[in-house]
Amino acid sequence: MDQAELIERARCGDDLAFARLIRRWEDPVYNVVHRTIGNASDAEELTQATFVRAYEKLHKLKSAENFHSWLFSIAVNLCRDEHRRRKKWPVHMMAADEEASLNGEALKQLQQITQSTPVEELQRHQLSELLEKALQMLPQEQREAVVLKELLDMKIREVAEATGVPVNTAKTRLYTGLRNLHRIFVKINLDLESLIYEL
Amino acid sequence: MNCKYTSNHILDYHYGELEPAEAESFSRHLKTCSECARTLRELRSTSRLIGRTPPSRPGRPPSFPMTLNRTAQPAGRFHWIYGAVAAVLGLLVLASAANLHIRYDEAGFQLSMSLWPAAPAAEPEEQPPGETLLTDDRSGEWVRDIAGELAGELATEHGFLTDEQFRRLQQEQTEMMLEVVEASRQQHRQEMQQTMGDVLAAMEQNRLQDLRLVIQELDRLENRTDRQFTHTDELLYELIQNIAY
Repeated sequence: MDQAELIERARCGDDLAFARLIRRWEDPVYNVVHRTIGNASDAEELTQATFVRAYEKLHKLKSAENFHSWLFSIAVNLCRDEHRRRKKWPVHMMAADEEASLNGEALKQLQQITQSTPVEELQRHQLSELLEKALQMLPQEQREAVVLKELLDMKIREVAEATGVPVNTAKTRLYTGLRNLHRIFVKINLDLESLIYEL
Repeated sequence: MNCKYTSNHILDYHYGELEPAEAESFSRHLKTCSECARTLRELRSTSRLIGRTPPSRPGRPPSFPMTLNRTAQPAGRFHWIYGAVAAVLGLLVLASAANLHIRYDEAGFQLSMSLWPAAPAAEPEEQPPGETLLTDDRSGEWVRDIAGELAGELATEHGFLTDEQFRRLQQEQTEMMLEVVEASRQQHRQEMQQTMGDVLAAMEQNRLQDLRLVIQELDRLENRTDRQFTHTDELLYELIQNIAY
């Protein structure tokens, strides 16, 4: 059964069809939420909340083709709400003066990881943790664009839809986010070229 | 950036979202513009790192729809217990009223009934021990018989019931017992349905788990192949660069 049919059935009240949609999308949603919000336990809760809201609002989905952009726009909005609710914007997040923040406390933590362990000996989970910390240093909107594009391989147009901005804005955020990440990796002496072949 | 191409061009090229003609043109440009080439390399390496190190998901919780279904379902297990207790209590009330005796011996369960109040003639030595009226469960049929018999005996022995009262009593007792039996059947049916549902859900979970393992293995294979291709691309790129210069 293809996705459009599952969505149509779920709209007609078939819970089993919706369950199949969840199984198809729960891992991608979790990955995006985890990378956006920055911790695993909140990510689980927000993943469930995403599907609860999707279940409630499924009748508002205009086209089955847009299901995943629509689903991830829900996830992104919930992450934004969570940030607002906690009023816990990362203090180490890049500010207007990006060079200044690139020398901040968060960067020192990352440098400690790479200094204590040679890059080629970094385990996958250490690398994942390092990436998570680096992503948390980006401004929220850049992080959203990077995570959606890189983890889901969405089209840029779909990233724009999911984040609710024009395509050119999404491109700017994505480009700036990737460049900033690269600068962070350079600062902590993470040799990406050699690392890529290790993965 | 000092060339005519913007960051959007590099980004679109990086993600393969440029039109073929534009992509070809930009590809030619890359050979002469070291700044664009360097930016593209940075984007590629950063992208690869993010795409290949997704967060690991610790201990997966039960899937969400199961939670939804659970909240939507009535608390079936408790209902059948209440039903069973009601049935037993009903039977005990009826037994005490009708002077019923339920006993268990080597012949199995036996249900016997004598008249109430016991006739003086029915002394223990004269009464046949354990006079068996019913030895098995015939459900609604015997309930109706017992209720009718009981009401009839009461009316004829003591004469304190009118015909109308007798009919009402007979009907009420019959309905009460039939309700208890029917409730018990319903609960049993629900129990069976729930068990079947659980078994089917478990089978589906197993199937999906197998499927997930196969997909993971395929992904791993794809990643390995992709890495090898990428490596080959890089070598070719360097080779072309060396030849060009």
